Amino acid sequence: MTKDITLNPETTTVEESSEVDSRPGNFTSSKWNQALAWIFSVSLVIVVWEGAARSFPSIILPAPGEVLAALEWLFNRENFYGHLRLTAIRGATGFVLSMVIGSILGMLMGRYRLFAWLLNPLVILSTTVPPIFWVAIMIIWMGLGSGPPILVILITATPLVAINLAQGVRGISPQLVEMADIFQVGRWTRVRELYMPALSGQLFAAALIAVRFSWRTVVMAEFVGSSSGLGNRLAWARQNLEMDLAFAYMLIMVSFGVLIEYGLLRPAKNRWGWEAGEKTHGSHRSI
Amino acid sequence: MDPIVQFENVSKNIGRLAVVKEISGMLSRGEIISLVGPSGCGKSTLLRLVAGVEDPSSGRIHCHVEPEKISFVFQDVRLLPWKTALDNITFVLRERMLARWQQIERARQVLNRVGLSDFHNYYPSQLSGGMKKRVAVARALATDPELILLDEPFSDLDLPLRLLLIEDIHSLLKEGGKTAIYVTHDIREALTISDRIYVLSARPSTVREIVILDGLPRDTWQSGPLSPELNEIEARIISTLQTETRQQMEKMNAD
Repeated sequence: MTKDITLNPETTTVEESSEVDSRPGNFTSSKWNQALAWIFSVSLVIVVWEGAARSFPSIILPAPGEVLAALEWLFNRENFYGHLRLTAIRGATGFVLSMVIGSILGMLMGRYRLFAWLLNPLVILSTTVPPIFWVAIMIIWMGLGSGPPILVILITATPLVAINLAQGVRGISPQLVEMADIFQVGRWTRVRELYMPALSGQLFAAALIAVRFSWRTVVMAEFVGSSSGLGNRLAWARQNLEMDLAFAYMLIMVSFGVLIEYGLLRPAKNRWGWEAGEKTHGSHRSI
Repeated sequence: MDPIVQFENVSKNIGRLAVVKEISGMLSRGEIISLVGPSGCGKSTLLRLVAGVEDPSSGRIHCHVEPEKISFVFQDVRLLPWKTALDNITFVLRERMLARWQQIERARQVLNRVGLSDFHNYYPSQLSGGMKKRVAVARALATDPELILLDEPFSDLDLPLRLLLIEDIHSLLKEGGKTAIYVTHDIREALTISDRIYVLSARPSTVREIVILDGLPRDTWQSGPLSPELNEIEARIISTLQTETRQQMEKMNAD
């Protein structure tokens, strides 16, 4: 549906376009539909899980009800919150460090060929090393504790952030940079008002990758090489064959990951992010 | 006569390609000159040399104006798509005016001056082509420049709007006593806006002719057909450019 309203005989017309995708079978156009998709998918998993659980003993596959009871038991234990806090702090520290260092490296790689030339092979090599190798090495070097999970996140997530940011920097319009040169725009103003918004799409993509990676890696590192945290608790549950607890920890981890992505990063992207062709402010109207 | 820019045998090569060849000339304070020439002859390169974003390969450019007093209106507008019209203008004022309210006040002033008083908070994607050009002109005026460089700013607009904007910018430049270099391939535009026209050859660019328009009655070409004098000038420039273009094509075919 397109409506043209003449504003002024010069050239100005207001064009209001509805953004509804009219393709048959399109179910992604509204938030309600997306929520419905989530409800449907999760319900399907629960039904299949419940059905499968009836065919196996609890020690192999606990039923959803048993996992809920284990969750309730966990929530009533004080030391659970201590482990949750430790995992969250380790994950967040690794995430922030990998974002900061990855962004700096990415900007240098995008801006200066020398850095790209020097760092590209290292970045590619580091992404091919399985994270579990770093976990094993870090335990030997640093022992059990917060060090290995944080460093493993740093080593594995930083190159991914750097690659994204380097691509973003290379994609900044040289014409806009030249405009800023000609108008003698200062360095800090450029960073804040030109480079950062231009990079926001890549920055949020990098943050999404880093947060997913951090969360998974911290649990894995704790599982193998830590005496505390949710990963370590999961290792204990597995060792004691407490499958209901193991599934309860898995549900907590999944929920935490979804919460960070949908409760924090995506709203932040919608609020501050900008991408070509994407409208984040005001109504979709062109003149 | 107070010179603001002087060219002394300026040449510019890009790689092995000679783009500008031994151009000399002068622009006085308060004067508007146009550079016309065949497509790809190096008109924009000359502007970039004056703006200081490129250096000449040989010769000298004396620019008697501080870099922060030079403004540019680009052919492709170059507005930040994530900023409103108002913020696109305050962006270039950050280091020039300390107080944020001063920047906003100045941006409002220039936007109103170019007829966009109702569109301060519109994003570039929400504005028409003509309005975006007006924002770009407002941005160029906002820094209170002594010299404005305009690189085919209205070339992609339709003729009536183009003539309207050219008349507007002509009065804005003259009212403010600004000096300007206007690059165009449209002779009518050059006749409308300039005090003098530099007619350039095909690449490598050299000055073929300097047409002095100062003193001719401007009203005659703003709204109606050209006066006999201007008609003659237009015909002469067209003939020069046709010859240049033909020679360039013959040279390209021979290569």
